[in-house]
Amino acid sequence: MRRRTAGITTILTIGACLLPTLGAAAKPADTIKYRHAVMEGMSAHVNAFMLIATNKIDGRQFLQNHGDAIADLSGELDSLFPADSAPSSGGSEEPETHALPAIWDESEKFAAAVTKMQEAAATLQETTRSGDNKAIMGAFAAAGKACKGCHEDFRAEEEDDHDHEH
Amino acid sequence: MPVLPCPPFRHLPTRCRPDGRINGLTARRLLGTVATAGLLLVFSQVYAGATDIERGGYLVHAGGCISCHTADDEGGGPLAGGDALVTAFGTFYAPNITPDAETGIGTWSDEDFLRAMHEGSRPDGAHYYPVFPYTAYAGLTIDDVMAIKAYLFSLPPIRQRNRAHELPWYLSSRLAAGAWKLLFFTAERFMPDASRAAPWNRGAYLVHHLGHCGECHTPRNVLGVTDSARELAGNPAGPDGKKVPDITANRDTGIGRWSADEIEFFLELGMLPDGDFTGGAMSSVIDDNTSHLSAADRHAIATYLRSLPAAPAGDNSGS
Repeated sequence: MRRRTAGITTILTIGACLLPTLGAAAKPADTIKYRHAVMEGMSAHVNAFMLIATNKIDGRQFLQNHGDAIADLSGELDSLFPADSAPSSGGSEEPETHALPAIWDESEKFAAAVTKMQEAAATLQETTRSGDNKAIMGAFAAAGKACKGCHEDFRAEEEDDHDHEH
Repeated sequence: MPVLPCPPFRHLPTRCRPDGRINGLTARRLLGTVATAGLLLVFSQVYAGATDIERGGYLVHAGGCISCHTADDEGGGPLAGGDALVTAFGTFYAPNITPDAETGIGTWSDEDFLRAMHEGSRPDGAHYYPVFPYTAYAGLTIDDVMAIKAYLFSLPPIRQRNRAHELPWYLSSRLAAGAWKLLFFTAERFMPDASRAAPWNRGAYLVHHLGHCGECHTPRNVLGVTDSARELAGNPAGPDGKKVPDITANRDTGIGRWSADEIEFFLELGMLPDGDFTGGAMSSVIDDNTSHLSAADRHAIATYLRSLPAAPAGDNSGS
């Protein structure tokens, strides 16, 4: 019994020592990778949402899942662009990023664009709950406009999108 | 050759046939003529009921006038002159096209306006640089051009002086623009293809003429002439030096894997088939142009684009 308690104590102690490390800032490369993962997740949910909303998929029972996910992932947008993840001339290890310097150079404008997206996503989430498809499509269009508005000013055009397929 | 209604202006180099010769037409050609006339009739009836001003407002959106002629970045008034358009040939500023008599086009006659749109010439005879897509607008029907004018002249005049273009010395004379026109431009009105259905023809008209998609999506040679062999196949040097993607049916570099629905949805909202949203210059095109189109017109564009042959491999989408 005593040995077991000692074991637990050891684990807790080691855990406590590790805590500060876990709280430390992520490496910029990992931040960029995570950002891409979240954005790709967002695209996937948007895509799934639309397939249902436009009745191509018979899955109304799942629509809310995707509406919630879009709102939740939008909620992360504030924290996805820390200063050290701005594009740099960087080493070869740094993942490619389409994030434009304007995100950091015009941080207030960027914050406003993020807020707009979060509000539009929250409205979409609420509207999805209503089940009124006309309203859902309207809310979706507004959320799409917010996505597009932010991409227009703060994301480099994905000119190499097709390269990946070659 | 089908006979097009002749414009009342002699100087317009149209391909119409004032003599309208019927004798000697074979039955087949006559049938083609009748079918084409039918399509033209369908065209002109699409917006029957709408006034010229309303129709013109729709056409101004569909023609992409707003994106270039409004200085969004600088908070300029609508259509009172545009933001800098940076091209490989210099920086251009689209002029004020509100009906202000002094700084806009308020004193222009119908003939002046037609000549600008169909021939690329200013009322004083000076030539426009082909950055103004008169090469595409030359295909517009006279009715459409006049409706556009009616709409523009219904807007409140905005007094805003035009900014001079910033061009290298060898292009700074309008004579250069005239020489270019002489060498590379033939004014041709759009001719519906009688063997195709109305939506296809409407799509061709929107893509090639009113919407002038090829101005960005088709590559140009060193003289700025669009490469007809690579029409809509992607442009490695689009406006602001940006690459512009292939929109032919090429399944790898173009939109060959997109369904008609996906194309229409993209034109309406800017959503790509994978759920991403476009940014960049196309974002303004969607906001100012394609999102304002009727569902039927977006469908027509999708129908036409999907009928295009896949661009051969090459510098597609600038990749």
